[in-house]
Amino acid sequence: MRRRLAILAVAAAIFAVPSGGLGCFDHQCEGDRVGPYGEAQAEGDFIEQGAWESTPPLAKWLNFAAGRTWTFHIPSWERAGREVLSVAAYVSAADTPNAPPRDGQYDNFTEASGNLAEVTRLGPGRFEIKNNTCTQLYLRLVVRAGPPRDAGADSAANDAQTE
Amino acid sequence: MRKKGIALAFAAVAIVLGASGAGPACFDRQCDPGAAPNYGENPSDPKGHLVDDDTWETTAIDAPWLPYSANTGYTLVVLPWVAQNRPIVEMHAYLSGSSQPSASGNNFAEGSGNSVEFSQQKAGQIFIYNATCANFFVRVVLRAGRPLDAGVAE
Repeated sequence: MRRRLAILAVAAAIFAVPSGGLGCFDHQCEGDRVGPYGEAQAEGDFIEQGAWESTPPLAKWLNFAAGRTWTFHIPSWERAGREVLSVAAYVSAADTPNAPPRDGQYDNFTEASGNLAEVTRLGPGRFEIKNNTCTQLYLRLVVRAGPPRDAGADSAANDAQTE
Repeated sequence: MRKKGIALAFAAVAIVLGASGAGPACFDRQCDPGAAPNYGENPSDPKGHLVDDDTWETTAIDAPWLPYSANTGYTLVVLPWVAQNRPIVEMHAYLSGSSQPSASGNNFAEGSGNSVEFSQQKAGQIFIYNATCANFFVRVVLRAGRPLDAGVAE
């Protein structure tokens, strides 16, 4: 009986290694909260009236450190009551993934899913995204908004951004 | 008793390895990098099409999707956007185990991670690569921004 228990203990230990993976050490995964991003003129730009990007694809992306939560605020959408319709979050291990190749090697990126980019809606024009992993990433967002709450509200937008 | 214990241990290890993602690896040459042809760059052999001025798709959703084998990819070229110097600002790659995911009983999902690695992006052009050992079919939808020289890019 004792031997059987020992075998089970070994099996449990084996299971813990491959499925648990490497954990977080010290404070590396506590994460921080940064933002709001999108209020200043240099923070993001409009692709079109209903589409906004955090940075252009060829520029330097946002630092999406392990555990970090970015809060975003797009004032004109908030004033117009435009709800976020879709969020495409692209992540890369490189801060400028579309930079010219180094030593013939290109960096790359992919669309995030799962806990790489957890989105929380905070209200029209406001949301946050968390990197709920222990991996250092860089982030680029493309967000699309629904129609204004009432016609003409969007035209009153008078923030620092150019729409 | 001892034989039974050993058998139990083997069974436990087998179950654990099976459950923890060890999965089947690549055998023989199945994971060697394959071809990465250009798609859409030849005006006399148009591939893909513009849904509207700002949106392009490799194939229609109900048409046969592109083969997307393990360790292969495509350089997607949207000639009108190249000519207009328009950056690709949004990209979505949908994957399926079937070439006709819209057919009854089939399905698809948006790809991410190393099943869909984007790189080498420039105006009207992007490279997509399947860095896994799984064979898929892919449909890519791209959206363009305003021309780079219109001051949007920086």
